Amino acid sequence: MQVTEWYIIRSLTLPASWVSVIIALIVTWLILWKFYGRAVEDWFSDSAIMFIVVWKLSVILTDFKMVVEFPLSILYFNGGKIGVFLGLFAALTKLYVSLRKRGFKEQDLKALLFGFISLQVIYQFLMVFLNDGLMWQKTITIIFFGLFVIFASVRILRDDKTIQQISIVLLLVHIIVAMLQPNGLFQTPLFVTLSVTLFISLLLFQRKSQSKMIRVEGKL
Amino acid sequence: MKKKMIGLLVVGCLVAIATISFVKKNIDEKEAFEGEQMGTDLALNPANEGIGKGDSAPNFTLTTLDGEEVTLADYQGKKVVLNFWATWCPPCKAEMPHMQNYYEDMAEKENVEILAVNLTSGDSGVDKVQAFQEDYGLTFPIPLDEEGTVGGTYSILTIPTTYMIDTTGTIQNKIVGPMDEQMLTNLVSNLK
Repeated sequence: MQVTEWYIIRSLTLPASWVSVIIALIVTWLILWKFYGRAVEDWFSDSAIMFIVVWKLSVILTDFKMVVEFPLSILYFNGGKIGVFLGLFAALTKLYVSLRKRGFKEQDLKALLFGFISLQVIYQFLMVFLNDGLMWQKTITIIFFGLFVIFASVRILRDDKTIQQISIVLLLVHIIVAMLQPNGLFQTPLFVTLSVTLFISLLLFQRKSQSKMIRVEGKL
Repeated sequence: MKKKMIGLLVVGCLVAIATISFVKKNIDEKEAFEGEQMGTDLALNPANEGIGKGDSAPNFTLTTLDGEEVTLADYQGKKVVLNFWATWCPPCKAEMPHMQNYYEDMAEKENVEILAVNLTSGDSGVDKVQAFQEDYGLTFPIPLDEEGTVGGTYSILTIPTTYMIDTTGTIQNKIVGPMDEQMLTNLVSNLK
């Protein structure tokens, strides 16, 4: 959805999109903590903080000249869209390192998918409720993501294969919704879903080759 | 069985994507004008003057730094970025280069004027403002609010504060704190 609403917090104004991202991150963090416990909450929050810090500081790269001339820019501005991409890259790298340390546990991968669904769906719902837009576009966003949540919770993430399937269905559902939303296919939230879907596939692949290695070593 | 279900679902999604992309091409043009902001019809009635969203922006006439008179009402038919600032305010300094860049690149294309009202009554003198304008190479009009009345009307407490006014003279957004080019671009493109 398009940002039409801005929130004034003391002497700063935040677009509805950032308010939505921050609420989605906090709610997801609490949900993961409640359902998956301390260890999962820990890698999630590390990665979330990494995302926010890199996004904020990336203004140094995106607007280097301005930062050199007016160092205060770092305080007031962020890296914009490019900043989001850099932040996402940093967050996924951090996530990869944390999950590898823990041996790509199935439980972690489930929690990751669960957490990402929660992030994206909460973000989409908030954007619909906070901003002005065409009624049918809002309705489609709610219905499609709502149906997807029902579908995903019925499947309850049984095994590795289900994780892959659910993440691909999420990507497809998101593509459909994005096509009907005002910003079309080239919008940041869809790019994030695409990246995370690929990331989850990578983790599943790593997990598979790891368990193969263990089996081979066992035979030796 | 379950595998089949998922397979069907995936195929269904793909078919939907193909259909939508086909249909969308045909209706895109028709809807180009609909994605705009609402609540603008009331604006033309002067009784709705105020500084909230959907209110008609209070009119004023001020003299700019270059000695010209500007009246807000004259800008109807153009989008207006009405910014309030002072030379001593660090976030105002931070946003000025962004506003200038935006002004150079987009002002004509977006049919927008930037009025950067200097709160002269609370600033340290017109020569400071003059020096500031030269330092930062600002080319948009800088009306001087020497009596503080306009700042009062728009109840400016924190600066910078910016009002986004659409072509009908209606306030659509109030932004407190500095804006960068991206933010300006988003806000102005949402204005009717």
